[in-house]
Amino acid sequence: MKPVFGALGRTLLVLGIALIVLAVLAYFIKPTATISTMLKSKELVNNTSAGVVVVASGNAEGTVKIEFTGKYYVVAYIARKEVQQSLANFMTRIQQYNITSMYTNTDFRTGSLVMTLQASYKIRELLDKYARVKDSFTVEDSEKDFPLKINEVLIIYIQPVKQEYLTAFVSFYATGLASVELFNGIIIGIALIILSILYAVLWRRKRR
Amino acid sequence: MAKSYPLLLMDIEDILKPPVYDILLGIAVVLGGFNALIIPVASSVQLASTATSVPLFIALVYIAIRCGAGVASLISNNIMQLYLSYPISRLKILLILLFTRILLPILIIIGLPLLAASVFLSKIVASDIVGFLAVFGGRVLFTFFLGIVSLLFALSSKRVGVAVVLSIVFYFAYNIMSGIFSAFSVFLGEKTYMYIAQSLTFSDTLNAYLMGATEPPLWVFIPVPTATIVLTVLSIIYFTRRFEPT
Repeated sequence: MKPVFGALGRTLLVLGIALIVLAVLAYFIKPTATISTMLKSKELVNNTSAGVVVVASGNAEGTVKIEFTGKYYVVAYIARKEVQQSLANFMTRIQQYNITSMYTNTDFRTGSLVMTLQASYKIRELLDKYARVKDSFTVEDSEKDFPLKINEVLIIYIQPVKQEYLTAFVSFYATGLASVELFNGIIIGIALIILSILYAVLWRRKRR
Repeated sequence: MAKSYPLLLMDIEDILKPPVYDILLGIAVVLGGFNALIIPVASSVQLASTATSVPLFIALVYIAIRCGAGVASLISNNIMQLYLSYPISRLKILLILLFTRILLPILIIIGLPLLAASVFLSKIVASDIVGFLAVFGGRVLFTFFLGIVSLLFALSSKRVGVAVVLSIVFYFAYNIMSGIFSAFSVFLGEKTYMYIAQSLTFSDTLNAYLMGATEPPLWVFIPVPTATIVLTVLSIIYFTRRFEPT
């Protein structure tokens, strides 16, 4: 049996099919994630009850940045520009959780909004507070115009270790994929499949 | 240089034979791309790191099969003698093997998942292309290091089974060694062990450093590149001076 495709044709075909499969998977499966961040902080070795902050997330393009700034953690949430207002409303709502300060900054290079918060919660207090909801809570009245509906926010698991590192597991759960360019994947995937078929035709003709 | 092309093309055709290549490439692209899509990433470094973590392992498996077993098979089936009968120097033959058996599969199996992730998250990639390429370079270098170990096992053992087993055992022993040093650093409270573990997991450490998650001393980035250069030189010396294809 003669091979139908050369290596290049097969590579294009596999990539094309994979892009379409990825687009379909990404469309149907909710983006859930756990981000683990290593925090470097010598102070935490001696003071494991340092302040922590809770931040919501829910954007496939977003991330949570955590820095240790002495007494407080500073947590920044990066969101797409169009969710600024909704996010600001949301952040206002969570002010009740004793967030001591908040400021926003727009990153013009990525077109995103960075929100930085400080809170005075101590770890134990925080965990006690959320123990009844298993370390998470749900935003039931999320904004209607929020492109990525936040289902569940929160969350901080602080796991102090002996060394200078402290691991914080920040997890969140959200629905929506506004930031993922699914259409690109489908178009390029189909184009690659067509290209691989054309290549196969030419390749077979050349072999004859 | 033109004399090398037939051998180069023949070896490329051999290493990209279906169906192993197609299946592993498909798995690498789908899993790598899926990881990048499902984990919310905002920086191109994080995106590249996420998209290449599974493909890195798949590339190592592929190299164990096609480089470790493949080169040993060339020797045991006397095809290496045919290679050596080509009117080109042994050095060029080895360079062809290094390219086709190690570098090319790495570039494809690690590069295409990155390409797939970039299609879906192009804005994030565009925000820091240098960091994106740095992660890719780190992954390629680390995989090349393990690949050249596999090639040396194949050239010295000349037996398919031995080459594959040694390649896989080395990979797992290497990972376990890194884990042991990490454990030492936790239990003994000695930073040096942690730095040694970080130096062993070169590409992961580089990614963490680029993401700002760790700040190791610069020397942790030296051992793996140095070992890669040394092993490449050793393989050249061995192949050009001592290697017997029987």
